[in-house]
Amino acid sequence: MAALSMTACAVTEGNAPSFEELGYYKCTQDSDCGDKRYCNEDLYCASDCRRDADCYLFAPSGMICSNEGRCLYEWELVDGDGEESGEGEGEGEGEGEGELTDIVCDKPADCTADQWPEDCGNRQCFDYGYQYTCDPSGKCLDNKTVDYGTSSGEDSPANDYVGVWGLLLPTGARTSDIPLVGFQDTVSINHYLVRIRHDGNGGLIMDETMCFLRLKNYYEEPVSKELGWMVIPQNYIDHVPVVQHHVAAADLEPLEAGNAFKTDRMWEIRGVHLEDPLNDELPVRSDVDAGDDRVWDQDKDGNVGMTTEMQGVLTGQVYSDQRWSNQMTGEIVDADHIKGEPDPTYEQHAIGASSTTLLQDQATSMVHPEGKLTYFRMLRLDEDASCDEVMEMANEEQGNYLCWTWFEDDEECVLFEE
Amino acid sequence: MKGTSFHCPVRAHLIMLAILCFAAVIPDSAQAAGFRMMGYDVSAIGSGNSQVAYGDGFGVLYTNPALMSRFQEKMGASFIFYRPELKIELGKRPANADIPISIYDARVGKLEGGLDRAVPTLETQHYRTDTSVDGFNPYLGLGMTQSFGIEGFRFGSMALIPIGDVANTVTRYSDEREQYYSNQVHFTRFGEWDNMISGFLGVSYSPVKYVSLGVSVQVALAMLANINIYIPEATVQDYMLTTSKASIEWAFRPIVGVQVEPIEYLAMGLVFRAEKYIKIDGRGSINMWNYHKTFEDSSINVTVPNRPASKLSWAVDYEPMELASSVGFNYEGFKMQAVLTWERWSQFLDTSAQRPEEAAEFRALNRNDAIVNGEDYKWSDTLSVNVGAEYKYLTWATVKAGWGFSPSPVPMQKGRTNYADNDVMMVAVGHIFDFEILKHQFSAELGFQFWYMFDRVVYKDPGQVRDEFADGSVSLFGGEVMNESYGLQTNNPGFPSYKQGGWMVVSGGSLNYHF
Repeated sequence: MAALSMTACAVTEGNAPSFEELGYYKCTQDSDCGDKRYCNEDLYCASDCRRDADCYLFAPSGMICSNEGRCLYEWELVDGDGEESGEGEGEGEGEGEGELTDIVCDKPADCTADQWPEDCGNRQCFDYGYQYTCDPSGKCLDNKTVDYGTSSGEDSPANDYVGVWGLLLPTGARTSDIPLVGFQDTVSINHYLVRIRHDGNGGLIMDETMCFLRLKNYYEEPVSKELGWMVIPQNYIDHVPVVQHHVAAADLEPLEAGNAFKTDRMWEIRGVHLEDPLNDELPVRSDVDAGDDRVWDQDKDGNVGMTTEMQGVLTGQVYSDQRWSNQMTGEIVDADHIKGEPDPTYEQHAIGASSTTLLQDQATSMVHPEGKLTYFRMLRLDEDASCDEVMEMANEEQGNYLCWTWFEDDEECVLFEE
Repeated sequence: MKGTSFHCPVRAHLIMLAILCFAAVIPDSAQAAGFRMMGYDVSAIGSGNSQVAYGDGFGVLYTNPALMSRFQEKMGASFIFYRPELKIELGKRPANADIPISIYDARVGKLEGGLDRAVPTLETQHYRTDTSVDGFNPYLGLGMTQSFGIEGFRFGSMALIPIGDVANTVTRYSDEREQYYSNQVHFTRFGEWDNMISGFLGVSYSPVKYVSLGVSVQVALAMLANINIYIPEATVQDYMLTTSKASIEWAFRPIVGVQVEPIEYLAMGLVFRAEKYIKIDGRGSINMWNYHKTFEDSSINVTVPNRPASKLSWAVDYEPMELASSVGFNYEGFKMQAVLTWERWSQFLDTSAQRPEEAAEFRALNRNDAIVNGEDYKWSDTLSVNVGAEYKYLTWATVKAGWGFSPSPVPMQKGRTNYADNDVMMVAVGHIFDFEILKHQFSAELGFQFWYMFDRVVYKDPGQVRDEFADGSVSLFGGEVMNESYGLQTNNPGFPSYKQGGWMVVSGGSLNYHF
């Protein structure tokens, strides 16, 4: 009787919620869910990871984050090309000579509206290799060959330089007057896809397309945990224009081991239009607050200047303008390798932020006193090389000439997961 | 009067007072709330905690202090333990209810509600698990009543001291914020109590044969704590300097009772017990080296040291205001009484110092989310019933029995909160042995209770649970819509369901010396 009464007094409140009530995003295949998302067994979009490191809690080792945001063991990947099933972008498409591709680029009118040269759309196409150029229709055109310009003569030393190269350009900087930590040392790790072509006068033009830019905090003493770090969004990188260095014919030595390599000084302005890019004052936050209309939304994300992301203890977006310059001086290692020391200059101001705590007007930047953090290395690549290939070498190939080492003469690379 | 030449009782009262003072320097807690249902001594345990009209144990300091003048002066010690076997089993969650790790890439905001941001389910400090409450909890009880030679007067004191951990207080969140801590659902009113000392002091006086009056106080305290932290190097997070300041204030729960015996065979009791809880207010501040903020309300471009501080607030050991009335009969060695207790649970404060109706409401992240009406989650006042009986079948032996039913004040927990509780029923038995040694009168007593919490299965209403990953969230980089954010994602440990229930035994023995 007691047991009966105890059972009788038990209560159940509510009903088990159905999937329909829970409102998840329905899907039929992974592609319905976007990058780094997959369609799970219940046919709803899910995401387990963003990078391999996120898979640690699924299994301490051996799992990787697939393109669809799943943590998988390597043997679970379907084919052997390092990608999941299906063809990658551009694979197996069999385009004909001079054919338009589906890659979108800025039309000439878009470029001039932003006060840039009409061919600024090439920037989006060069990511895929210098055989691509932007057609006025707004699509990248596959030219099948790379335009290197016209040589000044068969015996010109420039002939040996022309080609497609990869450039690794780490630059160390020290930013002072930062709260909590006093100062912060940072290395900007720049990877470029470079085309060296003739300038028609016996010299060279180096077209430099930024493939990737990462920031890495540098500590002279080990720290238990990083408090904050800056992340450069892909959107930022996509809106950095192609920049050019020139090597005058008079400075050009034959491409032989031990000879010198020297470029001119290149200047680049980000987030602001200046009448005199070298000498005009770079706008600061008070100028922007007062309505300075020289700043502009270069990365087209709705915020002035260029947007970077702060992560760690303080999170949010910082909007900045920047002026920097660089001149490279080095030596020829051999016909396929060049290395040396750049001579950069910096000027940067935070002109806005998503949170006032991220606005540090007192902060000032300078080139880091430890010179070995700043160096450059160039490696000759195949003519059809793309930014993806540059990054594959930099991220995955220990010992590759383009993979980044903390110091110029270090042997061990710091590989990045993508 | 027996024992008036016995001098130890006065000294013993001082010892008892010292014990109560000791009790005051450590936080009193929910433990007292546990014995309020079981009874504070072996006599109350054997009678089903029904001693409002009749009673002869130190536990009447809680049930009805007016009864102290109705029994012989005595002092005694007891050993009591309780052992619960309670369980909360959590229901299986759909995979999409988990907070994905990609929430780290979402714009989560810092405005109201945005700071209670979920951590990815995989990275919670503790995985969501069932709750088992099954510890053995022994206590030493000490008590005394004394007339000081005044007819009809009694002064009484009692302390219940845990054997083992003397002080153990835990505060919890009843909602999804518990994901940062135990990530479990916890019992609120019954079974999951902390170990603490509790004590009473009281007086009783019977001016005429038919009436007795009594007042007692349950000793409690309020504590204020300030914690100051200085971090000299923000990047070295395992080194910091700390100072603290704690101040303690006494708090008392008054209990007032009256008992009348209009005729020899009939007694009636009426008791008022005030609401009681321990409010703990604190403040924590953090100083860091070279950490500044812009000077507010000034056009001058200066910075000042930034010293963030936050206020802390808890409420532990909540016991509701109670009004208990009882009628008892006494005939030829047989006594029986029934108690009806009104408990004002509608004013309940949980350990986070929130009322359930406040805790249930939240700021919705999604535009189409239903607005939760907190009143649906307000606790109810309850009426509990206790019945006790005893029969003196020999001059030296008395048998006792009791029964009790305590309905749950907790409404259906279909929303954000997880106050695990249900109706509980109790049966009790006890026995008294009276004996003499060298012409001194003693008694030994045994008591036993069995409690049963009825099973209760709770299913959540998805529309009443806080979605911790806003539908249509966009990524920090590129502003892409994150499809995995659609629908309900929550780390609320009670979602989508939980089942609770179990039982508990209470037992004890005591030895008393009658003056």
